Amino acid sequence: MTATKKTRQGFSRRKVLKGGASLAIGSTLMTSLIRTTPARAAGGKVIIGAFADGGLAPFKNKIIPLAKAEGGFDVEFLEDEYGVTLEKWFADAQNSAGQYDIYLLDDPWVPQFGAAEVLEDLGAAGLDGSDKDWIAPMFDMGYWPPQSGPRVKGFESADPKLICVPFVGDLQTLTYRNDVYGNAPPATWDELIAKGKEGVAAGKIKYPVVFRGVSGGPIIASWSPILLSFGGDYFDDKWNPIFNNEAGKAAADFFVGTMKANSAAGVVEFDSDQEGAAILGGDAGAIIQYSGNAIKSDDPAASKIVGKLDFGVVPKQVKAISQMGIFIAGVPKAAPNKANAIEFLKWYTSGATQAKLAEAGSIPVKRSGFAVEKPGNRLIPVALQQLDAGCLPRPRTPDWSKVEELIGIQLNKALQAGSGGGAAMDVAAGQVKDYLTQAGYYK
Amino acid sequence: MTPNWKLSLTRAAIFVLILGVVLLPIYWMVAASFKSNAEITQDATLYPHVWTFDNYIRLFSEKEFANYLVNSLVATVVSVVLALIAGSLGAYAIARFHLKYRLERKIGLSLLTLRIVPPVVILIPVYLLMLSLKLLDTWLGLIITYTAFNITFCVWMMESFFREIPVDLEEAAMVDGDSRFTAFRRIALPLAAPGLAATAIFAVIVTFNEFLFALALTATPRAMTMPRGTATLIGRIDTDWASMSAAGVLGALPIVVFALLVQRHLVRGLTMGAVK
Repeated sequence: MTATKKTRQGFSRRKVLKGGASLAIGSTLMTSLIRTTPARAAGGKVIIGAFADGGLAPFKNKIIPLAKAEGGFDVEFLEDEYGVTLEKWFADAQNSAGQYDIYLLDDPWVPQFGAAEVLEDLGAAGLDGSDKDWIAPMFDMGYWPPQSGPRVKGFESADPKLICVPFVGDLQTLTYRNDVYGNAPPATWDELIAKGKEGVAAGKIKYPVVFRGVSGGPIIASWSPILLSFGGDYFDDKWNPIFNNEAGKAAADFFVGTMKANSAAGVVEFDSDQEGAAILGGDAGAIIQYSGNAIKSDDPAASKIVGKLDFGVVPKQVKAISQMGIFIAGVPKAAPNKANAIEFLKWYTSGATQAKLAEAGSIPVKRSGFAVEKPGNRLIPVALQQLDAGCLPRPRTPDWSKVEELIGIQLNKALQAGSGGGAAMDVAAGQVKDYLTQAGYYK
Repeated sequence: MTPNWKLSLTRAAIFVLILGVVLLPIYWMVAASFKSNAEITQDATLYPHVWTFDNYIRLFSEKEFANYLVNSLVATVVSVVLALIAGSLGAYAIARFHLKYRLERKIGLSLLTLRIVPPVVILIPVYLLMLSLKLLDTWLGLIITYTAFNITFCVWMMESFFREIPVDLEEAAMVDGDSRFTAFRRIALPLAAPGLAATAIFAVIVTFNEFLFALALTATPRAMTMPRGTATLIGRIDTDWASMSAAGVLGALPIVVFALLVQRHLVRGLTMGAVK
C-alpha cells in the first residue's frame, strides 16, 4: 500500500515527459494566441474596412494589386455585413480601438461620424479640396458640417471640415428593356408605363416596372427618384418636412397607385433580390437601381436576357433626378497606420488612378476618370449623363435613418392599400416633425 | 388488424411530416449550395438543374473561410477544454463540500445567472473589457469569453453528475492513501465520464454556433469564426445566397460529424442517474 502511494506521488520519467509535453503545448498555444493580435503599425500597410457590395468588386480585384505595384501599399481589405458595419466602425472610432485605417462608409453615415468628431480632417492632412476635377456633388458629401444646405443643431456656425473623400461613385440610373422601349430610354414616367404596357401586351415582359416595396430604407430608395423627378424634396432649408407638398403627394400617389398596378403582384414585399431577379429574369420592363446591380445586366451568369438591357437617365416628370449613394472614405483618428492611409488616399484619388478605376469598371469620383477611352463597363458614361442631369444625396443629418424609417412605414402601408399616398405623406410629415422637434432641430 | 394498420399509417404520416419540417430547410440549404445565384433567385428550383461547385471554391479562393474554420475550431476546442477542467473542479467542490448556510448551493445558482442574463446585456461590458486588454480581434479574447460562459454551464451540468456518484467510493480511495484530488481524478471523474461527454457536446455545439460575441469581438479573418464570417456575405444591396448556403453546409459539417461520433455518450450522459 505504501509503495503504491509513493509511486503515485513521486516523480517518474512518465510524469516528467507528460509535464514537459503539456508545458510545450501550452507555451506554443499561448505564443500563437498572442501572435494573432493585429499589427499596430507596419511599412505600407493600410487596413480598409468595407461592407460587402458588388460595386466594390473592381476596386478589390484590380486596384488593390495596382496599389501594391505602383504605390507599395500593402492593403488589407476587410469586408463585413452591411447591417453591422455602421455600429462596429462607430464603436471602433469612438473607443479608439484602432482596428482600421480607412472606413469605406455609405454616405448617409458621414453626419454621424462627423458629429462625433472621430474622423481625421483630411483637408488639413493634405488632400486637395480645391481640385476642380472632383465631382462636386460627391465631394461636398465629405464635408461636415455641410458647406451648403441646412445644418443640424450644434454645428450651425462650425467651419466645414473635409472628413471624408469620395471613394467609388454610385448612383441610381434606369435599366430598361431595349426590345420594349427601343434604343432610347423612356423620357418620362408616362412613357415608361405606356410603352411597358405595350410590351406586356406583346408578351415580351410580364409587367412594365419593378421596385422595392419593403418598409424602411428599401422603399425609400425606390421612391426617392420619383419624388425628386416630380420636383419634390424631403426638407426645406430649416429642416421642415416638405415631402408632403403638392409634388411629394403626387409622387407618392403615382408610386403606390400607378407603379404598383404596373408591377409584380408581390412588389409590396420586394427587396433588392426580388427586384433584381425580376429584371434579370426577363419579367420586368424597367427598373431604377444602383450600379452594383445594374452591371449584372451583362453577366451571363446572372442575367437570362443579356443584350436586351440598356442603361439610361431616369425618367422625368419635372426633372430627371436620381439619388446618389457613394462609397466615401474616412480615416479614424485612432487609425494604426494613419500616415499610410492618407498617402494611400492621395494616390487613389489622383486622376491617373481614377482613370484606372473607371477602366476596371467602377464609377470614378473625378471627371477625368470618365474620359478614359475604354471604360470597364457601359454603365459608366450613362452615370456621367445622370450626374449632369441631376443626382442628389440623401439629407445630411445623423437622424436620416429614423426619418427614412418613419416615411417608409407610411409609404409601405399606402402601397399595400394601393392608394392614399398623399395622405400617407401627411401622416409621415407629422411624425417626422415631431421626432425632429424632440431632437431639438427647431429651437 | 384494420385499426393497427390505420394507426401505423397515421404514425408514419406524422413521422414523415415532422421529418419533412426538420429536414426541408437543411435540404434547401444543401441544394442551394450547388446552384448559381441566378437559379436560386430567378428560378427557385427544387433541386440544382445546373450543378456547380463554384460556391465552395469561391469560399476558399475569394473569401477567407479556411481561416474562419480554423478560428472556430481553435476557439471552440480550447475554450471547451478549459471550461471542462475548471468547471468539473468547481462542480465537484460544490457537490462534495458544504459551507455555512448552504452557501455552496447559492454559489452554484449565482454562476447560472451568467446564463440567465440575455447575452446582449453584457455584450458592451465584455467589448470594453477586451478593448482595454487589447484582446479585440484575437483568439485569446474569444477563448476567454467563451470559457467564462462555458464554465457556468459545465459547473451546473457536472454538479448533478457528481452528486449521483456515491461518496463512499472516494472515501475508500482516500482511506487507501489517495489525496482528495487524486480521488477526484481517479474515481469521481471516470465515473462521471458520460456526464462529462454530454456537457462537452452541449458546450461544443453552443460555442461553435455562437454569433453575437464573435460579431462584437472580431473584425478580421484573423479571428472571425464561421458564423461571423458567413455574415460577411450579406451585402448592402445584394446577398450571395449561393455562397452563404455553401458556408452553411461547411459550417454545419464539423458539428454534425462530432454529434454523430458522440451521440451514444450524449444519450448515456443525459440518462445517467435517471434510473436507480
